[in-house]
Amino acid sequence: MSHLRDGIRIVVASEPRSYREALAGVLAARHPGSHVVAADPSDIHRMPEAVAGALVLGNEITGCISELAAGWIQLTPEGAMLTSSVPDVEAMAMPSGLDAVVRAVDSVCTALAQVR
Amino acid sequence: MTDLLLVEDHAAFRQALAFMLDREPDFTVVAQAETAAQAAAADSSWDVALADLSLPDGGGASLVEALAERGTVVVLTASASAGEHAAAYEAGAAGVVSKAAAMSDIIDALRTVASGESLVAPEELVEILREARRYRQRKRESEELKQRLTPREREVLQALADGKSNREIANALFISVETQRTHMVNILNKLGAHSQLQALVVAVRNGIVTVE
Repeated sequence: MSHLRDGIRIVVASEPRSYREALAGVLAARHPGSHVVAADPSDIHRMPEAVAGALVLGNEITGCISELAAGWIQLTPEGAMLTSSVPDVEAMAMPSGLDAVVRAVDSVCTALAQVR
Repeated sequence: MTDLLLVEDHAAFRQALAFMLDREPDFTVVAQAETAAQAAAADSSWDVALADLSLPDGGGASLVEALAERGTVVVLTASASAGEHAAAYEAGAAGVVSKAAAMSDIIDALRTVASGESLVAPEELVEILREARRYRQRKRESEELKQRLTPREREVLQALADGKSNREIANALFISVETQRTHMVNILNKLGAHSQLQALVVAVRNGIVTVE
């Protein structure tokens, strides 16, 4: 089981909507201390306050995300982990499946907590 | 309690869906499959299958037909094609839900079909079945059109779709410009087109070439 630090905000902004909401639900249920939201990626540039300082998961890492987010994880169109703002996490991008995505989220959150 | 079978090749998506559906008090995910073969071989008995149409080993209407013999099928698809949706209904799906739908809509759809109701009204279903017939007809015509072309002519068309000039096509396929022109004349004749542009439109519309 993972150990997300309480208080970290996670924005899930991937497509399609059903996966985005399901993934946000998984992360929220496993880590009740975190604030997890699902956001339409086409709206993300209109919500800088939500992105700022958050961990963002998306299929595309836009300028808004890379500039404002504390960290990000890029998902493939199939929902698997692709790359991350944290190099060590990027290196573990091989396995597919939900556990790999959740482990990547945990690792980025741990890395972000250490630099706070 | 409704027992569910999930059929989806993208593991992270399927597992996240399973997690969310298992949290509902009236659903239990009893089996998961990532291929049509696995879905067909699933031992567990289930009430409702939530199945993607596009799987590595096929899927589509034939998967819906096979699953519909064992239970109720709801198709979960990324496709917005009315023809594909109609084909799923014709194959026996009780409903078609977009992957772009909210989780709450997917849960509602599963509850609706589990209670024996349909996701579409009877009059709507009649129109859907008409669309299914038109879709089959279009697919047949597209396939016939594709079969008229030789593999080399399809390569020439694809190169055209990739934005190459006549000379670039000839170079890419290691043929002379004259040979390339001959291929193009034959393509125009076979597709009933009057220009390369028109041939390209016909080819894209009928799935003979893909445009990035």
